[in-house]
Amino acid sequence: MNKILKRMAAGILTGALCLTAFAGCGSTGSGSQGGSSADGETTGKKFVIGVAEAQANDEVTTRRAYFENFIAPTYNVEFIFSEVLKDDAAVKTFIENCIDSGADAIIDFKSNSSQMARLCEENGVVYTVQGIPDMAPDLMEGEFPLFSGWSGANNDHLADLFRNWLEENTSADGSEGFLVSTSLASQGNVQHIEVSRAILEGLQEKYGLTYEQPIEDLVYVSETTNVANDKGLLITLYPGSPNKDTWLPGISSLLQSGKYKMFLSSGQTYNQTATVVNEVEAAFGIDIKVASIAAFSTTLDTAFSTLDPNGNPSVDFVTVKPSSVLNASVFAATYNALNGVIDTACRDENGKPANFRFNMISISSPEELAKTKGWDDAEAGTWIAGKEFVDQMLVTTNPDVTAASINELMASVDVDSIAEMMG
Amino acid sequence: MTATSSANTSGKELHLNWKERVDVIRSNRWFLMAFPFAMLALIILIFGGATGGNFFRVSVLKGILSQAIIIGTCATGVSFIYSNGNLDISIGAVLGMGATLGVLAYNATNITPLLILVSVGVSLGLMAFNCTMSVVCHIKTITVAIVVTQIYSAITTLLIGGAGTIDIAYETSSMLEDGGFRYIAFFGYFILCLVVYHFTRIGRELRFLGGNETCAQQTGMSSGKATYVSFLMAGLGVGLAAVFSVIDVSAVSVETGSGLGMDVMLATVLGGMSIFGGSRSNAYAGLIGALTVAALNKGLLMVGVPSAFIQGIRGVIFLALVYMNSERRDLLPSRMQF
Repeated sequence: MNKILKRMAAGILTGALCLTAFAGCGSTGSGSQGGSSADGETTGKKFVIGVAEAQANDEVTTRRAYFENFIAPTYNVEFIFSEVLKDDAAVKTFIENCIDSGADAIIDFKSNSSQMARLCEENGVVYTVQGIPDMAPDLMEGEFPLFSGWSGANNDHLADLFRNWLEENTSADGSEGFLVSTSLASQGNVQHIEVSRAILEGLQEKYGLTYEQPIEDLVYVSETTNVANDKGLLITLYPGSPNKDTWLPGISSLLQSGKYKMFLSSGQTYNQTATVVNEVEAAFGIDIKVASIAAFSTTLDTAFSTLDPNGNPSVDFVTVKPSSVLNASVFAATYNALNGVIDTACRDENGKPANFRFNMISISSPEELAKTKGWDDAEAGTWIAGKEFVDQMLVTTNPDVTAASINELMASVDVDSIAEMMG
Repeated sequence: MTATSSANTSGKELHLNWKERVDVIRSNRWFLMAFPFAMLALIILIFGGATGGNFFRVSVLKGILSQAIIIGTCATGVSFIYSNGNLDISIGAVLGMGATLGVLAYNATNITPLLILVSVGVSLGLMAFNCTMSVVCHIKTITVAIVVTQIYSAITTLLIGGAGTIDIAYETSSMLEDGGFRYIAFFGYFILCLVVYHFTRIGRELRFLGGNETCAQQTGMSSGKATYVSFLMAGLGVGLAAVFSVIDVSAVSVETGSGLGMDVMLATVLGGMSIFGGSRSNAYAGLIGALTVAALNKGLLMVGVPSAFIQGIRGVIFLALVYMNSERRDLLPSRMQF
């Protein structure tokens, strides 16, 4: 028995040794691609930045590649990426673990919370979020000297893109039936709220509708709702997280009723619904138009190159996030704060934390998509926000940088300017 | 003899292959008790060495306890349900609803004790309802749990409304945190559970019922009464965990408690206890398991393992721990045997 115990102990210790060795190997390759700057951009301290993620999708994959393969070696920083964080408690745990790991800053793509800002303040860590100030008044009004600000899509512009497309692509009498996925609008997701609102406003303007409930209330519904209106048009709102198992069966059963020829989604869902849309089109002999949010990816290429039973692409309209522009802005805000210029580069004219906005890009045909080939391509490493672009946002390469100049640069990004930048 | 070697047990020369040797060790009652503690200690030692001693810092160890406290509290309470041979995966939804009503009550009155009383009271009430549905209507507890999870989650979503989250004043959560409420309440509850579980008649009855319900009933033990006791003890733990979760992030959201049922099961199994109950169940397994998970997550991040690998490494370690802790049908009394 003693022999057996000894051998077991030896086995456990050997395993422990292997684990330690493996863990040690991980530390050298974690996050960044090497310890020294590829371009010799900076020679000072190597900053460690934790990145809290809410999802695992094309956009997150692209972001990770952008940070790991481009930003980290170019600007001598290291990233610690989270797993998918399901709630604020998980974000807090990740931030605490990053702080114990020596992180200098946190970029938060999940929470937009003064609680996280406070945790970072207490530990001398810079905090940057993706989101908008409206959803976090505490963060706007509170005293958070290390909070560098918000970055995100210009939601007014995004809403306009949807509204314009609806104006041109809906029928004269509105008889097609509209299914609207409001996604997480009911839980406060600003992008989903703005897109849902734009869809309802677009339909209202086009058909001169009067809704029985205010649009402000409709976008927040938390259950499937037929929007009562004076013209009797069929407009159904379907809330819920597309990441949850229950979302697809619910939306499928509505589509399978054959009543809807227009499916409008405030989230990135076109890939999830492609099969059921095809089946319904084939079964009922109808053409369902699909509009959705998207990211540059092979999934989007496939969607535009796959034809439905009517010979149309399986998605008709998408608004695409130039994700490297977003990622460059959150990095710039963080990096400038770490380099001691938070008061100039991360504050607006009123001294409040900066609010960086970029414009989404609309695509409605394979030809338009073809023009964007190579934009934010993770495999090729061709980024819209390349070195020249990012350099304009960093105090180390542009000492005169301010929050206003960063916002000006971001606002200048559109299809034409990107085409020019990408050559 | 190539694959075997000899070992001397009870004065007789036995020939055991490696698998039989592992089984002999795994079946030792002291090994079963010590293994989860040993693994936790080993994980801490390994990460301590790998981080040059940083992992031994008080702030890091306190962080591990802090991160494990919500799952640990729930798992300690739910061990009563498991030991009785029942399963309940609705605790996440119960916690969410308890926390939501507690926050609403607090925000309406600004009375801090009301946050605690309402959260605990609601959780106790909901767990009592689950139990009643099972005992009175003779529906399996897991079936009741699956159904009520949907109901409780829907009610919570409606209560929280469009914003998806309700905040409480940071000063309140900070006061409860800094005043040590979490640790005092947790350790008080943990000691209560240990005493009830291991040193009282009802605790022994629970384990006996979990091991062999028929035999236990023939000796006069009441399954219904034991089920109520186990659900109420769990309800108390879930209620406290609801308060802890509110203190943790100064808010409650529609996501509060999501996935908690599975996390508690994992912690329980990693802590060395079968979720199917039995006489060798214990009240501390969930806490040990929760500490193991928290230490592993923090340690892997601190030594720089990328998140994609963390999931894989954690999975392999969990599988190994579960194998070493798993129930042996031919050696241990369990519901499966009878």
